Amino acid sequence: MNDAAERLRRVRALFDAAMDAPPEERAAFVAAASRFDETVRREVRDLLTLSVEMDSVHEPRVGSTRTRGGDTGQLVGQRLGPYTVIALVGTGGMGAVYEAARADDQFQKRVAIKLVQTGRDSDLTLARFRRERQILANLEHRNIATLLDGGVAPDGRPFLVMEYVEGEPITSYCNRHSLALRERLALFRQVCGAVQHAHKNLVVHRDLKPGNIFVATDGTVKLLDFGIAKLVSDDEPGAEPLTRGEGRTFTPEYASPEQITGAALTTASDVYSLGAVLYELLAGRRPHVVTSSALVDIERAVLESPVLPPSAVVTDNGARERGERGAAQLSRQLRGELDNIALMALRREPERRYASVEALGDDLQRFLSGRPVRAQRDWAGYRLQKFAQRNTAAVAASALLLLALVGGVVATTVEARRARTEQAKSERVNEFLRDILASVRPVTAGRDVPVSELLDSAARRVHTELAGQPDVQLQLETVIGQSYKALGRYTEAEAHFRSALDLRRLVDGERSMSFVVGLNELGELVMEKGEFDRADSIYIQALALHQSLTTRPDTVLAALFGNRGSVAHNRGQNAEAERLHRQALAVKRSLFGDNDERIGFSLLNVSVALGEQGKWAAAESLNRATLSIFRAKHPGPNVDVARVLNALATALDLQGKNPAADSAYHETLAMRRLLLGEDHPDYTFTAFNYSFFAFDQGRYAEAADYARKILVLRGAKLPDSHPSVAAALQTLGRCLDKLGDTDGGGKAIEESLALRRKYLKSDNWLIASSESMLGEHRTLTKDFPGAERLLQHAEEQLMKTFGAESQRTVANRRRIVQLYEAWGRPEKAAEWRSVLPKAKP
Amino acid sequence: MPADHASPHTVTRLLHDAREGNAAAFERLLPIVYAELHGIAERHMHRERADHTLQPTALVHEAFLRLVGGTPAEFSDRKHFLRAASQVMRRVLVDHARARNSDKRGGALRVTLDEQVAGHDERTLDMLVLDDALTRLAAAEPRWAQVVELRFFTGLEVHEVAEVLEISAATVKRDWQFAKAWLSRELGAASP
Repeated sequence: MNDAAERLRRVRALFDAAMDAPPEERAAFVAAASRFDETVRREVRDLLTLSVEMDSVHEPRVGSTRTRGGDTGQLVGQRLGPYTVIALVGTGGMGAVYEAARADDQFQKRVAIKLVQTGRDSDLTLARFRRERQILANLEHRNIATLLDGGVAPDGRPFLVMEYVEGEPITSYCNRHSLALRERLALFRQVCGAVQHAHKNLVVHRDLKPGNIFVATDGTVKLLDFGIAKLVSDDEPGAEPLTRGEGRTFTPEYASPEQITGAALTTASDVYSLGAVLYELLAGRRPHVVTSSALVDIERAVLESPVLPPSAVVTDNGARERGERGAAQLSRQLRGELDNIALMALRREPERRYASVEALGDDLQRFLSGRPVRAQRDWAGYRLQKFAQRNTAAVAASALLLLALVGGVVATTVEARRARTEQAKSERVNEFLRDILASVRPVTAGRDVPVSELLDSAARRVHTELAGQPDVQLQLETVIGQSYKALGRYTEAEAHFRSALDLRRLVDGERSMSFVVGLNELGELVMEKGEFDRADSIYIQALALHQSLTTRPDTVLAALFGNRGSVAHNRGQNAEAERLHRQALAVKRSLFGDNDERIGFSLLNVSVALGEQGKWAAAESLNRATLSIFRAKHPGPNVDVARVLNALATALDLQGKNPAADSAYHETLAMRRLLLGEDHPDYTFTAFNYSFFAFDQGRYAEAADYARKILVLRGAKLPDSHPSVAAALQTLGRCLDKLGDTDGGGKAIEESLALRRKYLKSDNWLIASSESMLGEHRTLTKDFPGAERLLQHAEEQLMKTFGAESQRTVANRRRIVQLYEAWGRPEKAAEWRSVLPKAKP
Repeated sequence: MPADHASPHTVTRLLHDAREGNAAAFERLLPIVYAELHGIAERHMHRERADHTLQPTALVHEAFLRLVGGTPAEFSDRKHFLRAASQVMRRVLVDHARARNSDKRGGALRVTLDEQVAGHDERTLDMLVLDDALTRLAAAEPRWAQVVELRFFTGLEVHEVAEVLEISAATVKRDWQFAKAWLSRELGAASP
């Protein structure tokens, strides 16, 4: 009758027959049952595996603590599921790889089987293994070896079945065929494409190295072991870094610095490893020379020694392998752009590398087609490295900030002004700065040279050495002003911005667009100092001048409207902020059309202003519009997409659209984890909002988990003065109370209140909020007088700050009613209940 | 049509008749048990927050106490009730899930089964997907689905299921083993 029913009966028949066989023979039995078609056999094979897994789920798996690395090919000749093992191909940190063939195939399709070594203490559950496997199975790309199947070996070890790639590692392929540089780069571009595809699917490789990048006999690149490093490392929240002992699942010579130190791994980590492979393809040796496998030696090599440009390390031998006559010829080809590309991918700080694999691939394409590449010589980083070696980490950190900024300002100046004379001027600016940096020497060994000292010396020299060149002076004053601003030394910064403004008056005249730009820069500084009134009057002056100069809209006008919008937002004038951001938006629309990314940022600002006014539905629709603009530009994970998703999640959350908010939160978290890592403030921010959301949903255990994720960062990454710490403690405490751990709950809420009292002004409403929560906790633990004191104090403060109508005041009063009810004082409870708003129907 | 209020006496008599092999009596039992289970489930759902977890086995026991009375009963007296309950419990849960789905603001319905489908223990079990899979299972052989219903929704042990369905314990075991793996695969495929 029914085909599906009939088929299911056949599945069952084969299942029963197989179950009657001894466990180790079942797979072979199914494979040999040729009267059943292939789909039935495959389904039964799955069912047998599932059946074994389910039976073993509750009991500790026998053999999971078996010896490590003891695989010496004893499986050769044996069966694993429907596969017959032919040969041991290799063993590695993650387990053994075998070549195998499908036993039931007439044409003997060859596969690679990887037996995954589960760690001595890692508790890799089969359910999780299967989940991850599914993700990897979906990763389809012509340059990625397909994951075909998986299962559990008779001894309990999970295994993966992959496409068997006949070929060799990319490095030896290139050398054996004496491929020239351009041919090597073309192959490497295929590698970038594959990694890029995986990143779009939120999978990071984590162990890119020539041994995992094969060139098949037909010349196609095939990446092996995608995501396997993650599969076998236990990186559930709270897990130790990968570096613990022999559980390491990366290859030191290609590992990124953050991988070595055990920091969060992101797509930037794959960029680094690709850079290392590229380096080797170009130069014929690895970027770091690691002399031993001791962790301390690897650390020293990767973290401390600078990477020399590929052109500086080539040999005659290497040159001949690349079809060049000698080292000198090869070196000439590499010098400049290819050096810069490789070194940019290999920068120590993830945020200074290529922003994505795509960007790296694009730059190589630019090189191949003869256009100028984006990568610049990293003179700042080189200086910085020297500088940092002589100084402490704290100095290095602030120097980095400064140098990145200086680099950035000069670069944009170059882009903005195309005229040749302007470029020459920028060159002089660069030279001057290089000189300043080179001149810094610690007076005595061990003494820190504050970055500001360097700036101060630059500031002095601008006047003496560049006298008579006001146009160059003007640029440097701006750069120095920006640098002081970044260091938080606003007084000095303002002096330099003002002096730049004077120079603009001198060079370009007071009625000039240049003067408007200078005013805007000054306004931005004053705004950052928190002097909003003064900033606004500067912007107003600039706007008036702008409008008297031209009626044409331009980016300066958009910036001025946007900045005035930010001032209004900071003053709490949200309707005004909305109006101004909409003006900025209108200007940008007239300049760039409707679908430009720059429109997106204005839309986001408008949506924030709307949100502040409680207009969450309107904010949501703007966020959705922004999202479609950004997604069109960046189909994969991207920081700006994540930013909009984050705003969207909030808008949905506050409208009570819970399932949609839930998925927006999760997508934001996944993207930010992937791109930035869990220790990045933006990730923390979303995690914090999500913990609040989960709390409101009654998912207390989950909310507590996310609050803890924030709290593990306490210390250097997240000082106690940061508001997130107290807020996360408060959420954690309330969760623990709900989960019945009132001791833990009380401690967390008390600490939250103590931090807020310590770091905030005594009349800040957040203190009242903590008091209210602690009061609720005291009611719970029946310390009624204590609760009364806290809630009473919170009531006074909340009334003063928000008045009786505010939700925050009402929530506190509800807690007061609860207190008196629990205390057995109904008349007081009734008195307070009478001032509550009537419950909504 | 809503079932009339059933006195314990009616239910006991219907159960007795069913035991005597009266198929019509069993059919008449179903709407009564459905109404009772549905009512209890509703009260459970509204008593707490929207994300309250339903435990079918507990509901069935509560329904039995309410319908048949507090007197401890022999298993042979309970078995027809349980058989009816397992069938209608599935309907109750599916109807709930449907109602939840149409009400977008409602929380997800969580069902804690005594026996877990592997891989779904930490998540909301999607009743509609499970129901669909059970229907397909029953199309091939009704008994396979009945075993699942009795194990999942009334928490019966293997030997009790064998007694209710009047088949051997070995058959129940094998049916159960197969159905569990098959459902796990189907549910896994439906929610990647």
